[in-house]
Amino acid sequence: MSSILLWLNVVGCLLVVLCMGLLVKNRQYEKSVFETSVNVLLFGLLLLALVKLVDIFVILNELYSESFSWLNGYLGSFVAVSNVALLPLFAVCVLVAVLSAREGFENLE
Amino acid sequence: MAMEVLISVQKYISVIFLFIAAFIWLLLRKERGDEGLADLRINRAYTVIVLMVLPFIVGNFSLVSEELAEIGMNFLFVLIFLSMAVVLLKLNKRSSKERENDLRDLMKESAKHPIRYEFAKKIVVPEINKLRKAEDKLDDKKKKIKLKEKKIDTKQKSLDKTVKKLEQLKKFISDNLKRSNNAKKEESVRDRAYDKKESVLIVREKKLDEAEKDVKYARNELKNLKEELTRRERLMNPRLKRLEDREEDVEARMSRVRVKESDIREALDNIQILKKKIAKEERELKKSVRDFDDEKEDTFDLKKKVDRVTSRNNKFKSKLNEREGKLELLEDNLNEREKKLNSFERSLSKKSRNLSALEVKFGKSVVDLKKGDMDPEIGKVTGEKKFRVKKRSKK
Repeated sequence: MSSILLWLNVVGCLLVVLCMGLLVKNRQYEKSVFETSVNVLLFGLLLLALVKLVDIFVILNELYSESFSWLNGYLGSFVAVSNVALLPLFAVCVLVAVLSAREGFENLE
Repeated sequence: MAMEVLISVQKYISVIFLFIAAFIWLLLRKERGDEGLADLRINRAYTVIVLMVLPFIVGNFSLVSEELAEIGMNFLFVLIFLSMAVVLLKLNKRSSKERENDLRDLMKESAKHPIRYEFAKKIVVPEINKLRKAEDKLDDKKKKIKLKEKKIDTKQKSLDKTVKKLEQLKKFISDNLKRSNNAKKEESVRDRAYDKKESVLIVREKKLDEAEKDVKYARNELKNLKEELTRRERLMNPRLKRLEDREEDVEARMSRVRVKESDIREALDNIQILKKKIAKEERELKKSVRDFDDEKEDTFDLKKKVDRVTSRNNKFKSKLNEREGKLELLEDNLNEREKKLNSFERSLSKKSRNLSALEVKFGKSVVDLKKGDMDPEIGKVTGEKKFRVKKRSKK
């Protein structure tokens, strides 16, 4: 089960990074009024990628505790930070991106 | 413990934020539709990202075991980001193709593309300004060079004059020398007499030698100046050639810029024509709106009149109904009176019949009775009018 979770997390993390790259590429074709919104979304995706990275480390520590024993000291704080700060921040970023996009539409009008 | 509670609270807060974001985005999408959101090219990516609320809901509110919920959450996560990557990849390809086409359109001289005007405005115009500045600088340099050339010409002229003067002096000196030689030959006889004068002549000769030396020195200077002039000319020639080349280059660029300017002017003219057309259409639209408003007002007035007429008709109808009611009442009263009159007529006919029977019974005695006489069976005989009055008072 843990290995499935590990693969899912790795694929998810890679996909998030790929989406970030594609968003950066697509940003140049967007109108300037939506630039803030896309930047905020990019920041949110960066936070999500960090969360996924922490999840990957946690699962790796579970599966290969001997190889990743050096993580034991930081893993608890990593998990706490990702759950307490990064995840809500990602949600806030998505909300702000949507609000900013709406404002951009209003400005265009 | 407190950390666990905080973590669970933060997860719920994240779900709420994502839910609000999804709600706002879907509301916006419903309000504007796909065409309204077309200004934002990656609007589909936004639609996908707001679906991130689903894995969070599955992770936080699922009824199955924690491991299954986590796998489901991660699976949904991967699905969402896979779809987002696909959407973004397609959008990127489409946008890059569009941009490529735009750039190709820019290369075509005949095609008129909106980006071309932007390109002309943002790139060509500053280049034109730079070229103009460079042209101005070149003009200034040309002027300076011409001024220098003029100065050099004036210097050359003055040098030519000095050379001519020196040549004249040389001629004069050589003539003098010849004359002096001739005089020496002629006056060889008088050499002795002129011994004293010879020394003077020697002194003069020395002076002449010095003058000759001066002339030689001036000649050398003149040569040096001429060499300097030729050297400068040699130096100036490539510069002049370069300047000419640059001038040609600038002229070529200017011609290109003029062509571009004419294109831009043509585009601006087209824009102005379009603006005029739009203004004309706007005027027509305003006029039609005004006509529509007038018609609306007319219909409103008509409606008001119709309402007034209908209200009047209703009042009239109600009055008619009232009158009809009154007339029906009067008809009923008349019918009742008719009935009463009929019954009264019947009673009168009955009484007349009784009277005729009584007349038959009493015969002459009754006929002989006069007004005011008393009869034991009938009573006091009265007049017909008095009888009617009495009957009414009884009623």
